[in-house]
Amino acid sequence: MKKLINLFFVAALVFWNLAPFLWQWVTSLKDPARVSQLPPIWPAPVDFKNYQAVLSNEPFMHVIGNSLVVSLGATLVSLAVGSLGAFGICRLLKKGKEGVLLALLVVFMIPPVAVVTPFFELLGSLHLRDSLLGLILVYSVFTVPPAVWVMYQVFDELPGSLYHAARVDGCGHWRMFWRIYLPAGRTGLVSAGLLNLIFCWNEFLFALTFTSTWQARTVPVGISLFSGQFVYPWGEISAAGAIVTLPILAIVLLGNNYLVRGLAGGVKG
Amino acid sequence: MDLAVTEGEFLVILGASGGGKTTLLNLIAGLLAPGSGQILFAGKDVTDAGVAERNVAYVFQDYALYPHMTVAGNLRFPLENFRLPRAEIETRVQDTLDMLKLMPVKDHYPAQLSGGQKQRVAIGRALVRDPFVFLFDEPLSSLDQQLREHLRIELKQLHRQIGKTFIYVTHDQTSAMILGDRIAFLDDKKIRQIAAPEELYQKPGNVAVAKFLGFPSINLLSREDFRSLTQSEAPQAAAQIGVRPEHLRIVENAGGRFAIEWLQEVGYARYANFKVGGKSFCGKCDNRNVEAGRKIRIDVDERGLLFFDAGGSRIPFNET
Repeated sequence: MKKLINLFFVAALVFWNLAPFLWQWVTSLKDPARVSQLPPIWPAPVDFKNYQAVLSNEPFMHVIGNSLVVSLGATLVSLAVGSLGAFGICRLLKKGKEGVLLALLVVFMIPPVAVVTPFFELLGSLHLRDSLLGLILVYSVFTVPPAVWVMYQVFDELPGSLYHAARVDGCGHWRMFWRIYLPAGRTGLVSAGLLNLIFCWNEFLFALTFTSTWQARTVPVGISLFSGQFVYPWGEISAAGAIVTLPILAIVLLGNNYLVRGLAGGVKG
Repeated sequence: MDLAVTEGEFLVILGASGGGKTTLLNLIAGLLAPGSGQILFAGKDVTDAGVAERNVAYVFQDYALYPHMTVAGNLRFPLENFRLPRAEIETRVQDTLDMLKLMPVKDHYPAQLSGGQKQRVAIGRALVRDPFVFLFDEPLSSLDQQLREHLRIELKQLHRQIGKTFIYVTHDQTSAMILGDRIAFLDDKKIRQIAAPEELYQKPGNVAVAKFLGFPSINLLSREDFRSLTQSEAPQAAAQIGVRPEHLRIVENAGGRFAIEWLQEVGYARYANFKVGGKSFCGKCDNRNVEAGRKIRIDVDERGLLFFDAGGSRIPFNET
């Protein structure tokens, strides 16, 4: 009897979380005319018109490209800076480790809304408004701290004897980082990378505020600005949403282990 | 402290945990800098030299193998750091793999190796560089008995084969006795005695040394306890008399003055504890059939008596 109750609650939870997505996917497969039909039943026949419309929508494809560039860019920056910084804090900084890590955490926890205005001004004076580079720059502020934290956990778990062994073997600090610590901690790179990738891909506030044309707009903004002539093209919006969610879904399914490790903080082995 | 290591010897630094053994090893390696004093390698002052310059090899307690490199990779790494020509690196790696019989696992990763193989890779990494001295930090302490014995012998044979200076740190007296050409006993950051194993065991210079070596532990008697046990002489200055259990023969005797409290059976011998003056002492049983509670007499082997003065130093007495 207990099992049935458990099953029921699990099913309810799953349904609660998946229902909006399922609705969205069902909608995307419907003939545009029948989109608003309730209840959202499986359409017959399945219609790919919406997907065709989205995929042939050039500005939108450009937007997806933008998102890719910005997300990958900010993520790569965070990994490079993060792993170098984490190595420095872990092995080279003798005192004040906690201070530095805490400072990074504080930066990470600043509500984006609070810094929208100053960043806007800053980007303006750097002539980086409505540019991918500007977005990468701003995102880096928020992606570097988690990268440092994750890589610090990873590096800290490596035994001190490994460091000493490499020193005895004639290793200087750069070599130590490049040949020993980074390879040994590569799972941390994947964890931090995935976390940051997802953050950048879904980020809306900065993307909306700092871009003004289709030149630099990213996906979340792009979808929100979908508009038809008279009505919202729900079918196309759903299709766009589905297309855009798919990479994230794939990443999460494939990289599940790494994400959990990154969030739980610390990788063994 | 003053320590002079003979070239090519297997020196063991023995002491209880926390006594400063690893610190000493790190000072020799260059991982720590001394506050004062000098460190000389074959007459050359290396006190200010960095780790890499000193050309020492260090085998850690947990081996510290590079987890993301294969066995061959682990051996190659130190040579790459010292920028040797590619061909020479390969030759040396091959030779070392051969010597340590690691060819079958040369492309394996550390996680796939057994304890013994890991130790050999750690040693190989040291060997490949042809260092001035080999330093070992208790590499056997985390292994089970059988493996430990096996690797001890391999280590000793290796030393004979290579002929280089080995400095080995441990708190395990058995390993120390078996491996060392000489043992330096470290107690409270001072070297109490450096001598060959037998001498350390039979002629300890100090109570600390005497207490550390030997199983079961040496008995330390006060003058009164000694009087009640035997008629033998003790020098005037002796405050404590040490007798190892194997020099106190326990013989079952209905009229004996002592009784067995409890037994320690170790398979090849039986030791028993008895009380003298309220304190418990240990002796070796003559007859394996003795039981707890039986009355016994104690025969003291005078050749095994060790006399210590009030400061803990041994007083030579009646020595041949």
